[in-house]
Amino acid sequence: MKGLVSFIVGVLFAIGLGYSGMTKPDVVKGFLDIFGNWDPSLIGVMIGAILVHGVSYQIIKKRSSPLLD
Amino acid sequence: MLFAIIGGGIIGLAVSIMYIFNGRVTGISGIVSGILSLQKTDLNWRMLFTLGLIAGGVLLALFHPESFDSPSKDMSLYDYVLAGLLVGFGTSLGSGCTSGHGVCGISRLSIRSIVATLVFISSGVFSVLVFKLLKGEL
Repeated sequence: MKGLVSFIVGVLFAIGLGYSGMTKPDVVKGFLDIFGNWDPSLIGVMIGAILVHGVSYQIIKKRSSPLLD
Repeated sequence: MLFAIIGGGIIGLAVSIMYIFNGRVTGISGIVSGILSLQKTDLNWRMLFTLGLIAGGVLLALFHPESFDSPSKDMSLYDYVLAGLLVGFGTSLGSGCTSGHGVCGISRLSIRSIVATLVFISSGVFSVLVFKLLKGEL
């Protein structure tokens, strides 16, 4: 069961990366190119991810054990 | 930018699912290096996660091909291999990357991860600057 969850998480993660444009090296490089043609997309990804996981983490950490233990 | 934030939200959802069900932090460089360390440390879930990444990539290629660029004309296959080696080496040395430190670490307000993220982002900015200088693009 844990394996299936890991697989699904992998698929979701990849979809998130692809949809956000992070699978394109030029987009990532564009974020790092702050003195040139700056592409802020990467910070958008971080903000989106941290917003969702930041809230989830506070809720989840109160549990005594993971759901599949 | 909207796509970026939504995509980031999906990533946040993915790592939250990993955390609530399996109690694990989704640090991809750690997961992959665990596979390569040749110990039998939870090989199954690591391999299934990696397989999931690849399967997700296949789905993207089929249904969202704009996620991918064609290979750069300035880079040979060896350049890509070298780049990959540097990424692997660097993330192992830094005990994590954008998913482990950047997403999971910062979400739990880990000072270590905040520092790590600031350092590797700054290093990346510096590297791009150096390369532009060397290529005469500055």
